[in-house]
Amino acid sequence: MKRVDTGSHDNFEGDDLWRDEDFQHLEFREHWPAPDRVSEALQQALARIAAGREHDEEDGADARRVIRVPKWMGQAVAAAVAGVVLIPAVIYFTMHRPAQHQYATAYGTINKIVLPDSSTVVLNGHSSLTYGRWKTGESREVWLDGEAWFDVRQTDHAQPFTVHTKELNIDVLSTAFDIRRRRGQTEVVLESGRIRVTFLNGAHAPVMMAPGDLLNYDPQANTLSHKIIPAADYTAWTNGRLQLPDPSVTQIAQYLEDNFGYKVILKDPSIAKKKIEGPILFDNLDDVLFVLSKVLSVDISKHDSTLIFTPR
Amino acid sequence: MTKLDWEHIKTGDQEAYSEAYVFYYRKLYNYGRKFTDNEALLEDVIQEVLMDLWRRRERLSSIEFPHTYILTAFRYTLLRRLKQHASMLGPASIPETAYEFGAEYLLIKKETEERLKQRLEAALQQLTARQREAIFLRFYENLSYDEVAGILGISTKATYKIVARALQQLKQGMGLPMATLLLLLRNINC
Repeated sequence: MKRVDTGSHDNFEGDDLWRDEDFQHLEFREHWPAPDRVSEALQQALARIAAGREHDEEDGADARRVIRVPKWMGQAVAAAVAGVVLIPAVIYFTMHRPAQHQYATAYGTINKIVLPDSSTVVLNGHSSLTYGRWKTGESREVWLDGEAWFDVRQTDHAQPFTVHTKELNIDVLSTAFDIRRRRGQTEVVLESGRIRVTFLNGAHAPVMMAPGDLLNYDPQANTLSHKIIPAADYTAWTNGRLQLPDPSVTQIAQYLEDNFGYKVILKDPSIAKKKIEGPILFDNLDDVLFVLSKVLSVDISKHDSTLIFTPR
Repeated sequence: MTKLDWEHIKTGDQEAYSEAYVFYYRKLYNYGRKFTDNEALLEDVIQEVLMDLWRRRERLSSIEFPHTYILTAFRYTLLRRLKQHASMLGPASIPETAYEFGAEYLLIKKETEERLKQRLEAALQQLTARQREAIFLRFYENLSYDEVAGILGISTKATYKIVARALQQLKQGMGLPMATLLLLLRNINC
């Protein structure tokens, strides 16, 4: 039997074994990209090289980036201005559609996304939304992690719109609602329209929600609560103002952490249970900290991404 | 196997680069796809690595084996990005070890007889992600043990051990039918 030259390990059986009859029954599954994807990517790369932009930072390289705009948008405009020679590039770029759209926000950033059907999604900090190619007549689906507010258009064909989160699917016709999934718990608030929430693990029967409803689901404790709240307060963050009704310091700390990425350290743990009367408006983080320091009689200092509350 | 023209790529020949581009795009996609099904992220990393190849073209002469270099750089970049992506979605969302060489990519051929299939199936379950990846790189990508070691970031000796162990486990799993094995075990205890 012919031995494979394995260098220093002359008696290594591995390669021989692999040639054994039994191993002929094993194969590797192959995955190939679509050929047009490859040629599209190549054309883009060559265009970048031609434009002398090969040294620019690759768009997706930085994980902490804000929203990712489809690459062809900026380039199509530049190419149109540059003249005749680049027209083929313009045609190429306007035809280019990424297979999957992925938007993610860094901490403290809020971004608005317009979906192919003109529905809008406002993505809160530290959240992500993904969707693939949508075809007319088929259902519209997106995947969400974190928090987003949705304003879903009713389409001509009344295609269902579904938001997938880790534990729930939310089916929508035409409506405005907010989904907040943080720390394992999910809250859904409906502003207008009607939505149906189904549970992927089947632990609960599907729930139909009406405007003003707040649904809170905790998979760990397996609790589901359904109550009525002023929805406008809950979604005020989309206008840059957050209203947390009568929040305890712990709730504020959690909100700061979830959306802004700040870790809050309370030098005096008894502050945690204090409640602030009335809504807190988050127009500006520094203003909030100012108000908090006054109301709680604490000094708040910022170190990198940590906030330390020290009693005065 | 396509012979790529590194000499011409080094001097800035875009045609030679294009050939390498298409060749590696497909190869890296096939490889990276075993770690994740997030196509957008995967393609992003591939494009980044290939653009980087162009940027470094003049320094190619100092890279002894461009082929292994590309695979290593790709693997490193992909895993780093997958971890960044996971941590961005929240510390608890995806565990650190989630990004490893997937299980479903080493398969049993359809024509395999049922009993052997079951034994193979059971044996395959025993393999670690490391073992699967080492086998993929050695027997699918046909890289030498030195090269596989380089890509995985371990010693060549360790690579031999990983592959040998994996194949022996598989062979053992396939070798003895369960009935015979049980009989033997029972006899030992008597």
